[in-house]
Amino acid sequence: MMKTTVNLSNFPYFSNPQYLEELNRHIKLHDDFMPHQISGAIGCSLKDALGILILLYFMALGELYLLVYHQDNLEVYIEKRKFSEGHPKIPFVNPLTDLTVNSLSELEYDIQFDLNDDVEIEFEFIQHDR
Amino acid sequence: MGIDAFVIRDTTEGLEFAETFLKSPDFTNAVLANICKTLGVSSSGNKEWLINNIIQALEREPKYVSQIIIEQLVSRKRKWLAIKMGKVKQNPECADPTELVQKIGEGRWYGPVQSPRDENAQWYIRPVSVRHFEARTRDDVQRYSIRWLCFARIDSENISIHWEGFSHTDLEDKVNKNSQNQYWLYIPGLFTELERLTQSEFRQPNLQHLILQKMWNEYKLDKEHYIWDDRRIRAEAGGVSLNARASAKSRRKNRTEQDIDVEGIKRLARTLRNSIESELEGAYDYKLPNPEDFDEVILRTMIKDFGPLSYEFDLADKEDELLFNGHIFFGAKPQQGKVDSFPHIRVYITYHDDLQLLDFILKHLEVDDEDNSQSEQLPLL
Repeated sequence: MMKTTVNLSNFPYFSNPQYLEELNRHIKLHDDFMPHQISGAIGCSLKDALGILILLYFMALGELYLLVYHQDNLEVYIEKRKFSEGHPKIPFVNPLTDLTVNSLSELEYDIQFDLNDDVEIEFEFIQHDR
Repeated sequence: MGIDAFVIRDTTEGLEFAETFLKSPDFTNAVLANICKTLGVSSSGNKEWLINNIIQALEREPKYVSQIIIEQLVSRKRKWLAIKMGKVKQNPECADPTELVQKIGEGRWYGPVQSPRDENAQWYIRPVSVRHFEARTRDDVQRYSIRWLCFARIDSENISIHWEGFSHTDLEDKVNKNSQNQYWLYIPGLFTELERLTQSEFRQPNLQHLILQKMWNEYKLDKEHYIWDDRRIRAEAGGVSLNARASAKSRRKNRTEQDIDVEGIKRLARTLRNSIESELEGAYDYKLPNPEDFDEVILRTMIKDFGPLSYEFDLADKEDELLFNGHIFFGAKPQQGKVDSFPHIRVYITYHDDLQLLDFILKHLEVDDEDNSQSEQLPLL
């Protein structure tokens, strides 16, 4: 298991040790993360939550996915694609309903970051002097 | 099928319009009785009797009576509200709200109006036209519009929009299938209009922080002084959608400590814990220390760690005084233009009042803390 320390000094919300501790607890519970999941668990803004997931992606600690939903049922996604692959190609069959999706306007999106299996993350908040 | 909204079926104006308006679901019997009381006319009797009294008064003194009708309409308890924070630079002078009593009005803001039950704020009314289809016969489908009234409350540092929900037929080919009014298509735009009118900028509150951190720590963990009853959680994480809801019948006054222990979502958490506890005892001869602590761990995982989209709970003090009773929609998916696209609250007004709940929320919101505001769009999506 590769242990990696991630400094959140660009996210002032995490200067509060309680929130940092809760994030470290939360990250041990799951191996995939959506922005609202982080925000709900820790109380940070969705923008901060997304920022943390992007940071982890650019540190090559996992893969970023585009979750594709059909507008008629937003409860669960119908496709999970690597973010770098972009939108799905139209038309395709919605696996939940067997109906054909003919337009991108029928779709909604979210983001999920999947942590690599061999990575263990420890968040910290250390502001370095400039 | 009855529609719980004011359907405009003809273009009549004047007293005939006013009578239809007063008969509409915009007015409860209690509101009509309050209008009669304020006018000094008989306030006992059925809805028709009350409306008749008001119409007679309206005929005699249209301006004054219209003013009373609007003030009482604004004062009515409402089931939905959304809040934004920020210094309000200007209280705008908009169109005359008394026009809305005898005319359909236009898609613009009316007011200000002073609400008799809320002297610390100014109120504004915004009619929104929503299409609605009705079948007169099997082959004759008519298109009407619903006049849906949204109400804005503006004080020096906050702005909130309050509204009633309703069902209607949105599609011509589905005349027998009513669906929920898609308020999420309108409310964010109404806030934008108010920002322009007040020349102010508002921020969405971070309700995840407020409810799941601040209030959670202050009230839910303080079991000595408060009773926090989890009623409903909608969540999504790891490709799994969760929708757990407690039955409504268990919400009541004069609850005992014992009742609370086995009600609501907590009952589900207890069942899961019982199952694990039984397995541990049977297969491993291991007894859980402080089993009820594990109920709390399961609850915390379900409510906070599993990607909450919305969360309903009751909060009361030990004297059973209700402090909060609502369903919080966190606005967890601003990029998806549906119910989770902006933060808002469903109030259960049978037990509570939208203004009481607003007051409670505002007391806990830290207006000047930028970190407590929420993004309205996620930049990548």
